[in-house]
Amino acid sequence: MRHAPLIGALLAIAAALVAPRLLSEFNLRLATLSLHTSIAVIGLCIAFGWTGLLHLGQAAFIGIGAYATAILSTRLGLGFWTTMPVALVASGLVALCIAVPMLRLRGHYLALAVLGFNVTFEIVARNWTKLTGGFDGITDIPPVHLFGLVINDDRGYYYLSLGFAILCALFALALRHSRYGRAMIAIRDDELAAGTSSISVTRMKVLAFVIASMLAGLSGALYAHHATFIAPQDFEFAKSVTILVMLILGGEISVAGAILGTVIITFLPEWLRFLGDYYQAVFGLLVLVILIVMPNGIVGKVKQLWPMLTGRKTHV
Amino acid sequence: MSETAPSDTILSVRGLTRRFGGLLAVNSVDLDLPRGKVLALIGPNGAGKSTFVNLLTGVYAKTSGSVQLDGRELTGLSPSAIARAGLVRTFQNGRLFSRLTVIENVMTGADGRSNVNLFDAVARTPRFRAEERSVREKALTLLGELRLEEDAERRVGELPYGRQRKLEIARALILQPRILLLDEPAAGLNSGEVEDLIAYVSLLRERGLSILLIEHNMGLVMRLADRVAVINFGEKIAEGTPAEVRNNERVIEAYLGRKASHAAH
Repeated sequence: MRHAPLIGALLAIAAALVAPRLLSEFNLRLATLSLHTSIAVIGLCIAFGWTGLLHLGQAAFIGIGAYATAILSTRLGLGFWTTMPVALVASGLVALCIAVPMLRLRGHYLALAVLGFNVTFEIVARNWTKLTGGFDGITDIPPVHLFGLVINDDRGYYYLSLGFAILCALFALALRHSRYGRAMIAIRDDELAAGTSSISVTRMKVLAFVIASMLAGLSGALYAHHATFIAPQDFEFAKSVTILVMLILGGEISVAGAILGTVIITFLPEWLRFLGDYYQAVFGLLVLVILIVMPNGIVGKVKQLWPMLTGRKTHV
Repeated sequence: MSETAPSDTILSVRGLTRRFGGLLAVNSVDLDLPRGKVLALIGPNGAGKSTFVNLLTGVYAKTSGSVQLDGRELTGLSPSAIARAGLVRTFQNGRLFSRLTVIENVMTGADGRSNVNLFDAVARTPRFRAEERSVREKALTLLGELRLEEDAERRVGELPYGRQRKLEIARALILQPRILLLDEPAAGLNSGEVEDLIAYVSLLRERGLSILLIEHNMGLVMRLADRVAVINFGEKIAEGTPAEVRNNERVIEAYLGRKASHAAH
């Protein structure tokens, strides 16, 4: 079964295409949310899963993308296809500016610095009232127009987000199977050996960080239009941690894992709703247990068990 | 000691020094690697061999001195720039990329000479596909030479130790270096694997590659090296042909201690 991953991906896409017919309105909304969030998680897969940069600021870059597109569309009346590229460029430029000094820091220090950036972003978003609307945020973000269609319901945003999520997954897979993916994975595996193997380690890290942040920006642009309302608390540091949990649950090196982890963590509060007030505690415990049982995430576990399932033995 | 004419020297080290606080780990070492030859650098544990290698390959910054590859200064360059300049190394304890397959490990070694940019990679342009194919073919050729071709699609962790060491050599060679620096390549190998290693290094030498061999295994050094340099306490204490060095009193003393060196006479 050499083509198992391809068949799995096609089945998943087929299921995703028919899903809106089967889901309730509320679940469709969650599914849409998980699709555009998965774009930011794919970004973290590249920065952290491959390259080892503990980028705990994805929520801030989702925020940059969301505010960029919200401000431009509400103030200047620009359409999504103009504001979305601006969101990408804005998050990319901010990432580039902070990447150069930050990537001199290693391990936990990098994580702390990016976390600090996320907190700073929240404070700016709350207090720069003229630009961001402060605590009240920005309301009435107009719908996306696509080929003369107005996308203004959950089903429309579901398919739009699905399209972008598939594009981003293909982008990440193309990257993975090229010198870039190999170099990024090599850097996390052994930074010293990556350097002496002729990889430009710093340039590769900056690239991974910027790509991750731009994907978060795109995720934010979709979020703003889908939600029609954004406020600073949507981009809190806690959301960056959730994004990390999504990635690790799915399997940090895997693009499919990034998407799977996002869907599961997005729906989990619904599935555990019967727990009422105990939800947070059970959620935390569940994540802990999963990480102990599956340190390489769901996709890592499937890869490990696959030979057994198909009755084939791996060679020594 | 015989002088080598400058044009016959591919790598020239002058006064290379590295101080760690009060410790002179490498103290004013001069060394010439003759073009197309095997120069072995030996010395007891803690003599400063590893520090010396790390200085040559840009892992550590020098305190003073110079390293020139055909007249081009290497000190101050990053490890990847030194690799691109043509000096590529392996590691004493084998540093491979555990999450990549065997062939991907080899292919990473070619990154420094890539002409493919991000757009090429994402859009799968003809330039990307041509380069990817040629790098893959080169990697397969190297794996074939080292008899690792059946392992190409395996994870590194599935390989026995001896094959992992060979894989590191393949990763170093794919960039077509001008100098190959082997840091204790025989460490942990069984005698059959050591024979394979000797045969392969001899083949590389015949092809004209200049090799700097850091080694403990004296049998290996005596059979492979054209010249041998000995360092102890961070200083070069002897240099010459394997036979000259073997009979050098300071070398015997460094390895066996003073009393034993008297006993040997």
